[in-house]
Amino acid sequence: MSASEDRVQEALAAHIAHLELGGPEPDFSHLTAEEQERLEALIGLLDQTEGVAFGRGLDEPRVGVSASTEAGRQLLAALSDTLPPAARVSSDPVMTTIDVPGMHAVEGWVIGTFGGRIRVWLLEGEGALAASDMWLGHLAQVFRLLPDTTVLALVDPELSCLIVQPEDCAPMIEVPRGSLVSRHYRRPIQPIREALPAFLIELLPHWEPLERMTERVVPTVEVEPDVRERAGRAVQDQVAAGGRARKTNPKRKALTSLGEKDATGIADLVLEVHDGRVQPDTVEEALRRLAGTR
Amino acid sequence: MNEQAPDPVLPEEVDDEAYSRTRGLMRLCVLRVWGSDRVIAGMDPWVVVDEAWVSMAEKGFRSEGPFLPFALRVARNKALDAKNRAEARRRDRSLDEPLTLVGGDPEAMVLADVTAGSPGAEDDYFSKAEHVEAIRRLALAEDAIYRALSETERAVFLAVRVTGKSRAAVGRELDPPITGQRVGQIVAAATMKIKDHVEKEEEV
Repeated sequence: MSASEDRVQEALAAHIAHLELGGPEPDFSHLTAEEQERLEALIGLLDQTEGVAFGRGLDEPRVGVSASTEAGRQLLAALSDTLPPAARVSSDPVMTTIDVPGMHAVEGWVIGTFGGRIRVWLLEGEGALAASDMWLGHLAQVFRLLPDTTVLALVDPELSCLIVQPEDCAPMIEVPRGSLVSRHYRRPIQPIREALPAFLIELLPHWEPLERMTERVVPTVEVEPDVRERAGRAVQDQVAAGGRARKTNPKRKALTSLGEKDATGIADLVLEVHDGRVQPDTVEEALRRLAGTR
Repeated sequence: MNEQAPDPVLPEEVDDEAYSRTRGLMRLCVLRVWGSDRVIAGMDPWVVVDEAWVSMAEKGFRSEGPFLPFALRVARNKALDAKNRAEARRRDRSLDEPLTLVGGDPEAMVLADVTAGSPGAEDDYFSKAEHVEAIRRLALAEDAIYRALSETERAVFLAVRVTGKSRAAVGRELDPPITGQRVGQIVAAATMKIKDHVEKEEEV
């Protein structure tokens, strides 16, 4: 390292000491302009990186996850076969801090997934899951204390697995009947190689490919001929109705006198509404004006 | 799962490599928001990145402007949300719960007002190129910490600059123990190595 680098390093060490201990700022006037510039850049880097939890969540190779028991190693092998290659598996540091009466977990791992974490806890003793009904009420605290937990997978040494979800741990009102249902496990005890993939299929979101937004040509509908045809037909219907009325009925004269001019007027009005030139709430008034011109 | 594209329709400029790179930067963005706050101790940044990713996917990854600043902005806001939720859990109450202030301030405040950030805050953050560059530099710095530093340098740097331990305490924990002054020199040397690595990578 050059003498200049030494001086900068020494000055930076003094700055770091100042950050910790406070007091007057160290004097860097002995540094050249170039060295001071380098020091400022280094201090800037220190400021930018301060407190950032580097390394947290960095992908570690799964081989780094270990088990201390034979059953644990078998469980990890099963996870390795079952999970997608890029799934993150790490030891569960909080497993030992939660006490569930009657349940003895010896090892635990966390699987990182979309939508939360799956905690996999290996239980002590073959057939340990037989006592699972006694734990259900107490397991609620796992989800309360570790709210990022999506499910808890309890596994016995024979690799039978019971998936516990937060909603299993409390009584619920059943819909649509509205009756109160006591807490219960919603999933059966299954081999972990079946239970976990089945749950992951439900958990991981599946996005249907979205249709690309393209500029579509909206098909144009020729409104006018249709409107004129319907107006003409409506007028003919009214003329026919007038023809069927009694001779003394004043409607007879009024309806039979309707003709092509009226059909054209009504069709024009409908087209004006369609184009926005006439507002729908003024149609009645417009019809009155039409009638007044006859 | 986290590094595997879940079959979404991504923006055209985001290929598989950009997918991993973007999510890596989103993770650092989350860590930067969280800082060394003890409230979020133990929380997994990837959970927040996943949450941000799902949120963007639900909206078809539509963004106004370039995708990366948009993704970082979503990650940042989700990190603030997570921090707020953690704070509310720690206090065991709702974010909407009114605060009882000493002196009975007539202005009603809720917990969310006093926790770090607020949902959707600073919508235009990362609109400036230097904000994105800062996250990129952070990623390069992390790369340097794990590639350019020796094991001792890394442990000492992280203990002093990330965990916030005093130099003397870090020195005592080393085997053999060293003085706090020597720890300061190691941190300074490590910082220079990180800076060199960042500059070299930026040139590339």
